[in-house]
Amino acid sequence: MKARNRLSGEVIYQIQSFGGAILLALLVGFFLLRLEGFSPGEVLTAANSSTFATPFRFANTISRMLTLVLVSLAAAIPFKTGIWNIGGDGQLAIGGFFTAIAGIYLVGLPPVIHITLSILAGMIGGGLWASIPAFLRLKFNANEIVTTIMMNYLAALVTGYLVNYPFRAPGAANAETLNVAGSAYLAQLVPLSNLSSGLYIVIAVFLLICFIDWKTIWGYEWRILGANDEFARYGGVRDVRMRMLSMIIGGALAGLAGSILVLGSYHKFMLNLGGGIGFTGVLIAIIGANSPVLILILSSLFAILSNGTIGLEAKLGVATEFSGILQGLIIILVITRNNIAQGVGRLFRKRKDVNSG
Amino acid sequence: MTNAIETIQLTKNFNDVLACNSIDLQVQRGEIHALLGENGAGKTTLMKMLFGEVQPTSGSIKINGEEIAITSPAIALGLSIGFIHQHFTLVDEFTIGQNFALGIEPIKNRIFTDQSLINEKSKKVLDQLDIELPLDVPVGNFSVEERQIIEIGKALYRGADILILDEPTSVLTPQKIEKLLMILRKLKSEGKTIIIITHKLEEALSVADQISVLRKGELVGTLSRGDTSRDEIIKLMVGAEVVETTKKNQNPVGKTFLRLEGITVTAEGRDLLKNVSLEIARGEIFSLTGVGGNGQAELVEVITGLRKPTSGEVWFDDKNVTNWDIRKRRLGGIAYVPEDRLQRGSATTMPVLDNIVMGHHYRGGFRQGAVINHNKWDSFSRDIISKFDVVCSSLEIMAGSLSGGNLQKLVIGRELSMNATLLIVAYPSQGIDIRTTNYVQSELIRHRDAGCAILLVSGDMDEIFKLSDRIGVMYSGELVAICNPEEIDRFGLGQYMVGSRRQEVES
Amino acid sequence: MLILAEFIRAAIRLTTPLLLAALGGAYMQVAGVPNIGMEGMMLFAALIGYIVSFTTGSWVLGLIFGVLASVLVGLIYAFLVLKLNADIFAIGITLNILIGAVAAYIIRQYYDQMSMLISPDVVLFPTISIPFLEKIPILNLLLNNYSILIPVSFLLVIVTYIVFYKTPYGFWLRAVGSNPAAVSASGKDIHKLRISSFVISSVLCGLAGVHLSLGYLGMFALALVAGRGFIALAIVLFGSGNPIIVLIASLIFGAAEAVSLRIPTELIAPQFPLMLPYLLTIIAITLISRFTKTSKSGAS
Repeated sequence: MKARNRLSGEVIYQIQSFGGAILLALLVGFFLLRLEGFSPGEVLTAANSSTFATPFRFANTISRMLTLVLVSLAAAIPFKTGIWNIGGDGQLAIGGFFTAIAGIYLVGLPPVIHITLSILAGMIGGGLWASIPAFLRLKFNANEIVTTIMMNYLAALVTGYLVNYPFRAPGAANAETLNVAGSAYLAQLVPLSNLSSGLYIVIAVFLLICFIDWKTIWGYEWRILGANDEFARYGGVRDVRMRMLSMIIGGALAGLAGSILVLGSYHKFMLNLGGGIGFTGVLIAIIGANSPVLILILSSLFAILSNGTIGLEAKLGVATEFSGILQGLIIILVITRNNIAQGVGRLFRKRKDVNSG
Repeated sequence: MTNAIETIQLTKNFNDVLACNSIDLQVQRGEIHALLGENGAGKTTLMKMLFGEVQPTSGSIKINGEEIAITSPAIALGLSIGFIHQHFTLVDEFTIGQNFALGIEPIKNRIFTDQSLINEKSKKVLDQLDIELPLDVPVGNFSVEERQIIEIGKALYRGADILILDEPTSVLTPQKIEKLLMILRKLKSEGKTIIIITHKLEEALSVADQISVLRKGELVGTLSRGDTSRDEIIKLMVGAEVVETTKKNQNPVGKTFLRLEGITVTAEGRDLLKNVSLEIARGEIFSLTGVGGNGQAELVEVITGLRKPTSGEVWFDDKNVTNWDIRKRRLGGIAYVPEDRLQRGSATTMPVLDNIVMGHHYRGGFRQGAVINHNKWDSFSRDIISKFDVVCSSLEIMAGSLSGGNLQKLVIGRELSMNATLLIVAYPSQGIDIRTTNYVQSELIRHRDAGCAILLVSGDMDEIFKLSDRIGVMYSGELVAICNPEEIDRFGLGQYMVGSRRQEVES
Repeated sequence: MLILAEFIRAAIRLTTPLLLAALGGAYMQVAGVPNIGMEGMMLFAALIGYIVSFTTGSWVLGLIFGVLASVLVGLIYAFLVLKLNADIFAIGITLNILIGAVAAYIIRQYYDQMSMLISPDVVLFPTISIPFLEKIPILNLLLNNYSILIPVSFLLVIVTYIVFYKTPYGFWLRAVGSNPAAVSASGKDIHKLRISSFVISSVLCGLAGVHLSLGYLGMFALALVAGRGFIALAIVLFGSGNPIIVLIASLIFGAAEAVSLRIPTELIAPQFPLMLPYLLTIIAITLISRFTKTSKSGAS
């Protein structure tokens, strides 16, 4: 791996401009809170109280980070090859539901097997849900931004039906399934928190994805497809196959996220399992698709932001949705960080409009 | 009588490439003037300077006796100069009139486009062109030759007196070419001045009053139609020097590797390739030449798998590979240095390393199952870089940051190292320095001597005569000749390239 | 007969938000810049319009400020994409998500609501009453007492048709999307034309948004837009921005929604009919791509 270990000037520039954009966004956040009358010190203390201060809080932050990592990778891997996957929420829901069914009905198995099968069911569910828009895109060139988003709504409606009617837990006040069998429980790592031994599964999967990304032909071909698909095809890369594979893996990862939420946090399936986290995953993927490590860092950052605003609300009365605004701001600033520099340059040059299109 | 157009020592230098070298062109008013030359001769650049799309490095232009700096197409349009590009600037959904009047629409009642006024004026233009076309049909529905006439009409609608046409017959079928030439003659009789850029001698002779020949950026002669012969013109186009051919390969040629049978490619009603058949054997260099755009690119695409032929078969040895995908063909023994090394031959936003291993990465030794063998990738890449003298500071930098010449060397080095049975190399000396060109050429000879089959696509006569064992000439999608370099000269090849002569094919 | 008229009425009412948004999308689509941000534009307009209405007691101000809110989003979108050259899809998706967060923040922070905003002080759009129509029951159902933007939306179809196909500006706009080379050869400014398309598009999406909160539902909810921005995108891609196709497609979706609301829940669970618009969208967008050349709006 000799060639890969050297940090070229380019990588350093990327780190600097990226970090700069994030810092800028955070500064804007502090500034906005300042306008509401809160000093940075107050903000940090309040945020800390809900993210790191107690084991319970810390566990929840990590739990959120894990889910984010999975749904971000779910969007990032297809994105590497040039395909949009906005369907993370739907894939998570379907995956979670499949897992719940396996968890409830495959009784009588030793826990390890039961859990494995349930998780596999979830990944298959997510993978399947993603393969449909992928197929439509690769065979018919159907715009996958539209189709994956439509699949989200369909997933909500399908699981909505399933959980309100055939699979509804009798006597339950909310729309939800029965609890999964005890043999399918993922142990809680910190009492009462959302963090379960799903942590280990996510770590393992993350390492696997890193491995695939950097150490296998697949990762290489995905990267090249995204960079210049004419070159990839010319060199013999089987583009249709690789793109479908990337979507299925993406869907499976989102399904896995759903599985872990079902087996580890809630022990049953209920509506709005992911709470829209799939979209946050897309945001992270837009700027982090090229590197699982970057995705890990961004997921941690975003998890801290999300949980941090809980404290902001409790202590300072700032609505937790503020984190969403910060996250969006970060994404826009990062996307445009190079463009800002270029754009400033272009403003000073006369525009030659021949063929600008 | 003042000339309609006069260029005085007009020169264009693109980063050390002299596209036009001190050209003194005179085009008389009311004449049809053909600009003849091979690819890269400078014809299009010269005309783009007349239309303001390219600015001259030095020299000047006089229109109707007045010296003017044409700094943009708007100015050229103001001077009544119209340029009919090879790629039409028409909006397919609009009708003829709507295309003609785009941007200069007359208005009635303050808001609405005065469609009837436009149609009236458009009818007049079409009459002038002696053609009847429905005015309410979207232009996209018309055939290519009709669209071309519409493009000419657009220039006339806007009052052009001087018309420049860039390779107008390249998109036309033989039957339609005569119709176009008739229209040009008619326009000339109405006092228009017409310049037609072409490489097709017969057409130039059939319609032009004067023919100017450009070669390697220089104006080598202007001849009047009456006082010259085909041979003289061809000599001017290709040059008359005798080229030393290198000592040919003494080894007998090996088994046939590539066989093409009746390859035809039809697109948009036109035959891009017509029934092309050829064989290339191991141990020979087969050069495919011809003026660019006559089917060479499509033929290479069919061989490599980038394009499916409408009919015909491709064989590697005794295997019918017509339905094989690109990877299978590469593994079956071909390598390909594309003409467009930037877009097709590399990924400029990816590291040098990633660019070098493409096409090798799925071969044994480079991987174990799906796992990359990083050591092999690394050592192989370093090897290529040193062998082909690619100047780069590390394997990690973006390929796009390499200089043009170095990127080319990278692409060539990668493909030449594939242990291919058939090596396809397109325009290898384009954009490369002399030293590397020599190295590449000697590498090609070395590969050939070792038993490789080589398909060399080139327009460089020196290169062709130096390297080829056999030469094939493409014209209008057909393989019009296969020659032995020792039995033909530039002039002979030129005859084939401009469509003046075809070989009788024995089956 | 009356039942049919009732059904048509329901369909027309349900068509309007989609129609307005899709018309807005059409202006950008024909100019070659697909509007991915319609969902966000509509949401923001709906929210701001609603808030202004109940704060000021004026639906007119609500309409104006709602539209302005959408235009603000449109200008930011245009700036990022046209000036800074950022990817139109990435920015569009990000803006949609960001605006969702902003809306959630606003209703939570300033009004202490989790997902909906309802105010007794809100002034909704008036309905247009034509007295003599009341005498004829069928016509009354079909044509009378619609919220103000509903007839406006149909009028706008006509206006858009005229603009696109009868005015010079419409030709320039469509040329920009079809062959920018033709436009620059004609001397018109491609850049300015594209910016104008962003502005018009955001105005129309703004109307769609305020209609959702002030004309249709009478309240604001974070889930208000429910994917209509993307269905509108699909409609616009399907018809390449042709306003007649936009009208027909929107009516089909409106009818589908009307059908889905009328199916008794004993017959079939409510979720299934609700799936109709989304399924239709997937089918439609697969079909267009089959029959057209490589869609300009394909993501890669």
